[in-house]
Amino acid sequence: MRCQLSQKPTQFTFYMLQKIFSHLLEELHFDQEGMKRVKDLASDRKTRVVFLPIYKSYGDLLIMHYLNYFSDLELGFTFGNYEDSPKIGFVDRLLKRIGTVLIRRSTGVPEIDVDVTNYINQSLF
Amino acid sequence: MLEHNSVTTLFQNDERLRNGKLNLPIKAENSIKLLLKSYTNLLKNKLNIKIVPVHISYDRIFEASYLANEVVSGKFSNFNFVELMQNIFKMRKGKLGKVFVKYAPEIDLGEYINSSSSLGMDELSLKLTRDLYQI
Repeated sequence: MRCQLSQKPTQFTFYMLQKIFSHLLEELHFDQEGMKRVKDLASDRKTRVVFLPIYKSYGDLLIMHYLNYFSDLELGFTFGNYEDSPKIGFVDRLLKRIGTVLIRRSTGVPEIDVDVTNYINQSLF
Repeated sequence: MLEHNSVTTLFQNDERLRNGKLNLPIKAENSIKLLLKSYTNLLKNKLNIKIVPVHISYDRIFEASYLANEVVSGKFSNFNFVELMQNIFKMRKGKLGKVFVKYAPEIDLGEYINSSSSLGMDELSLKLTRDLYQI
């Protein structure tokens, strides 16, 4: 359970995403005022912004990353759902390189919960 | 990409919504519990944590057929990279329609916790989960 943000895989991923989204989607609309508000918040060094989307599709994760990249916002780390995501080696490696950590949420093991909390602490700190 | 680590994304629910309905949850989501735990751990650093609920809506979702199978069989259906690429490029152009992303007004987590200080951690996480669903 680790991830690493690196520039080249990120550029490659967003190039691929641009191709895929332009093929699959008719239009992608996003709330520009909301994004501006988020950018203002994120410019303060003492403020941490936590996006809390509802997980509906595998594409949510990629759309959130794509919009952050497209709007010149920090990519940050994303905590995805390990249990409910496709286990494709190549895609998983790419996701790790763009800052996605796939975490197990319903383990029931206190030690793992502590580890996951530490990961979130680290991403917020 | 990471200037001062100001943006984090955490999905609210543990599993994808299968029925398409946003019913009020009867128990708190794990991610909310984890966020509140990490907030209490980070209190000494005096960070302002702002929660921004995000709404993503699709005309059609990519894995609709897989979801339908999962609802019927009750099992998670996995697929490999080749199948994924075939599915993407076999679809006609613009098949998934329009996608709308909306950012709701931010919630200051510190103020939210102070305003409901009489509640315990479990009740607070349930309240926050429900409030986020209602936005």
